[in-house]
Amino acid sequence: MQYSRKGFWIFQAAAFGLVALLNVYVFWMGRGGMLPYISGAVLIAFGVLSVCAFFRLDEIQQAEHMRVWAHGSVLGALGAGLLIPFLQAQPDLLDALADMVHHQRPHRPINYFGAGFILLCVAQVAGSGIVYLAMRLRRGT
Amino acid sequence: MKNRIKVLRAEKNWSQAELAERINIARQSLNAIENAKADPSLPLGMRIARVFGVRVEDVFDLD
Repeated sequence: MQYSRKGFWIFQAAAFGLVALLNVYVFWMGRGGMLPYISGAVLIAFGVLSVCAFFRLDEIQQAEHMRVWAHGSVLGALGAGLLIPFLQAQPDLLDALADMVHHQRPHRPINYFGAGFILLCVAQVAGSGIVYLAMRLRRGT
Repeated sequence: MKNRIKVLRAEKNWSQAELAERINIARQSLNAIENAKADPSLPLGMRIARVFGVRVEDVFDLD
């Protein structure tokens, strides 16, 4: 695949734009029964657009992205794991997290699973951000 | 891996941006290669050598 800086930003902007649109949808329309399906579709589209963006980078940038995601994902997963003792100490926190997926209690197991999945995704993105910043600082750029 | 990109670039009077455009990579990536902070793949190394009109071993050398 050819390197294209413009192509990378177009796909990246489209991916994050979709997530922003999902948030706007939730804000205006509320959390209806279709939300899990819409969220799933947005997640898949986000993944496809991100992969398209990745292949618009040159090989040096791709290698750096892969390093950032590999280390960031592990860091994020470990960080999310650190929450387990807090969740055991405060069961309300677990329900508060599941409210993100479905705000009517009692929650079904799928709601807890969804909350855990979202938490892990967010933690991995945050971990990748931390690793990216650390690499930039170490490189001095 | 050591390289002579900076020297060859100066001989041709090319900026980093100009060379990066010729070999179709980002200027930041070329900077990383030039400063030995990243190693290019063999095809990219050959592309770099080709734009300078030299052999790969005239551009890159093992430490």
